[in-house]
Amino acid sequence: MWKEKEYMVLPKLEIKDVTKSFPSVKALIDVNFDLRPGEIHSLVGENGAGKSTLINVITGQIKPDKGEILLDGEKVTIDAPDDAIAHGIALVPQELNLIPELSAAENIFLGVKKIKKSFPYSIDWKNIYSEAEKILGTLGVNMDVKAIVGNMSVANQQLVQIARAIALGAEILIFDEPTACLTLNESKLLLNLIKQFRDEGKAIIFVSHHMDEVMEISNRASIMRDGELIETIKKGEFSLQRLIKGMVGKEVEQNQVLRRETDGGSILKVEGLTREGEFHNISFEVKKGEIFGIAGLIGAGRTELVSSIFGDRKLESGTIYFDGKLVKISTPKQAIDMGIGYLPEERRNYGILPSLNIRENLTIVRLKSLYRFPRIDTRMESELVDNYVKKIRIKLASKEDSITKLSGGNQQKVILSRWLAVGSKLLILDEPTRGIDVLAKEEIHQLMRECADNGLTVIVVSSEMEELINICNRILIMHEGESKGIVNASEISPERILDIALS
Amino acid sequence: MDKNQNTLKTWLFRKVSKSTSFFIILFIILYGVMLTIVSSKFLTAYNIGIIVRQMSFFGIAALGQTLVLIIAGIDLSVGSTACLGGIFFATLIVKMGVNPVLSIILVMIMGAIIGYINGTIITRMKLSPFIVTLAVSEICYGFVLVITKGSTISGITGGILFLGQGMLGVVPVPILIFILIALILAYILKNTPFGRELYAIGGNVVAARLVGIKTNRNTRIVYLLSGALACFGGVLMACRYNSGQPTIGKSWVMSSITAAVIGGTSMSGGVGSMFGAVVGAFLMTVLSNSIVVLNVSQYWEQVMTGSVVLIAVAIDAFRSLSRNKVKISK
Repeated sequence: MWKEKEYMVLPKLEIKDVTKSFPSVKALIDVNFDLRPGEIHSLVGENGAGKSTLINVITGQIKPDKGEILLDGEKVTIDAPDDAIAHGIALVPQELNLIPELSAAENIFLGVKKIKKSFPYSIDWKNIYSEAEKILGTLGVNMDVKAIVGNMSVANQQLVQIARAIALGAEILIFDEPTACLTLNESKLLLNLIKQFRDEGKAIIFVSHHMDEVMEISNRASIMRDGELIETIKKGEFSLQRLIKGMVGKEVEQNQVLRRETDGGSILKVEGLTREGEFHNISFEVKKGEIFGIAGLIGAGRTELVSSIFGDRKLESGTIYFDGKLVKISTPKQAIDMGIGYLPEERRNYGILPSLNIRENLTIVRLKSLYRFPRIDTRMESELVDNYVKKIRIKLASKEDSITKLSGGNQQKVILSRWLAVGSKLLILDEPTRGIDVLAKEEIHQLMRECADNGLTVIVVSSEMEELINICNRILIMHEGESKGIVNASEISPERILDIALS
Repeated sequence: MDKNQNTLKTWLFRKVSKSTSFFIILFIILYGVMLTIVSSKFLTAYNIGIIVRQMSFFGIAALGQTLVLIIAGIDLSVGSTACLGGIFFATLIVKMGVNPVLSIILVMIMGAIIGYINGTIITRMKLSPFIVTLAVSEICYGFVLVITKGSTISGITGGILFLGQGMLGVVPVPILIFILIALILAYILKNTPFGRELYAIGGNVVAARLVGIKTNRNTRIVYLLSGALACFGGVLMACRYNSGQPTIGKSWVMSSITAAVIGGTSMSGGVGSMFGAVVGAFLMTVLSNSIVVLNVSQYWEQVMTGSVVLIAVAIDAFRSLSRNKVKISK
């Protein structure tokens, strides 16, 4: 009997029949959700399923059309983020909202007035620093609280964000894709920390695209699809098939290994590439039609390396051979003219051109070939775009819409098409599937495979070892700017890659 | 959903929510109707002639300013550049007896050089356009004072005055020149790779560089155009008044930015149009003209223009807010 009673424990947070419509879409439809103290409750679903909207409702960023929110069994209204904080609800957002110019301690106590109790009532810096240290200490973090946040690694910035939530006295913690920008090791530490919060009795909502994480740490998981909460599954009933089926609405093949052998000649050969402080003496050779992976933890210098090959950074020393010829690449333009394409990390900041529409984003690189004095041939342009929309299966309402209206996966497809349209010989993809939902991710993997089969060469940088193992022929392992060797993807495991990186 | 019902309303809503210019045109029409009812002086060929002539001079500088704003820059030197252009033009013709057409070419080359200097300092040293163009503006105006010692250089005569004073039928020549330049620039913006690259740069300069756009070169070209256009505006102004005056054009900085912003150009870059700048310049001139027509004290003009800018910017903000809301829902 007593077990039954424990099960009936009063929910910390309860969402009842919440509905929210936007002009073009029903974002939430009669959603019921509850969260108990000492529980990790995961929210899973594809992009656009309604997870973000639900979180926005809970944190007061969006007002629902209908429905109520109960805290500890009492009805509350959360009209603004302030209200949420006052009720002890804190969000650790996917895109951290820290102030990069300020120190860790200042960020942690942002919005909290810490003032000396006596004249001159100035800011009590001593107290701020010691309190910040104390909070970070409870998180098991050793960090200089005076360090400027902008210079920190993503993982440390995230810890500062979490510390802020704790400083505000949050009882309900919401993590929105917290591991999207973390390496394997950092993710493990973070998940442990989240478990620690759970054991302290905090109630936690956890959003992630990584099903293995969800299954590892959740007590329950709720699946959302098209604005509806499809079902809530208890621990013990989890299975990858069940979660994905719920999210997608049909069975999907997962983690197919996509690989084939190549015997093409060399397309890119680099020797002794160096930029002090970023990467040192890196040499490798990529064959035509190969998918070549670059693995490593964040801070390994991978992005710096590939963007230097692309000409966006200046190499201090080293040589590059492209298609058998010694080349010097000092601007992206030169790289592009040679036939190199680059899909940058952080799609939103560097990938999309937000002021252009979908059509313009797709054709921007080969615009000059569409130019027939005195004007761009819009018919040719439209045909080109339609062609790729069909071929790459880009889901869109109209190609004249702003690119910012597309989901992450579809934005990524547009950017990929950009390089395919210009006939690139070598594509450098930096974290191409970060923050993209399961289905779109599989599609992008397929697409990369198709490209390679058609003779294109792909270099892919990823923090997800499994992704690299599934799609690559060979993988270069980097750690702190050094090359740790090149391995065959068919004979390696994620753990082994980490071992090699850290050896 | 119901196609027959509310079509006009939804059409209007879509137009207004898509383009600030459309809203401004509606406003000008309503305001014009009101002025016509209140005063018999407004809707006369003579008065309209005055309005369109007046808008052309600073309007040409506003076209250049719009280009600069589109790439997320700002050119605070258009006023002094225009002023210096007018003075230089008057000096060449009156004091040195240079051929007028050659003078125009020389003056525009000078404007282009000033703009190129702006652009080069901004791109090479990665300095803020605000500071660079402000400093260059001071230097240019300093030269104006050095050359003129504060007095007017008058005595421009001959056929060249046609550019500022002439009429083709009932249409003043400056407005024709202004519209022609606007059309050419609008065509370039819409239909050439260069134009599209400017929007890309304004939206995100890093992303633009990564797709192979020569962002620095394009930035220099834009400032160069802005300088040359400002000087050309100064030349027309000198032709209008037969003289180069050290005060003319100085106020064009604010009014060129205002015209652009009223016309829907975003101060944060990536958004803007020549049509908008023309409409914005037109509205500002109608407003200032209405003060004369209505016999209101001249001093009210700035209050009105300021309010209109606020309203235009508010509409803009409202639109981007509603855009963002849709984004969240997706």
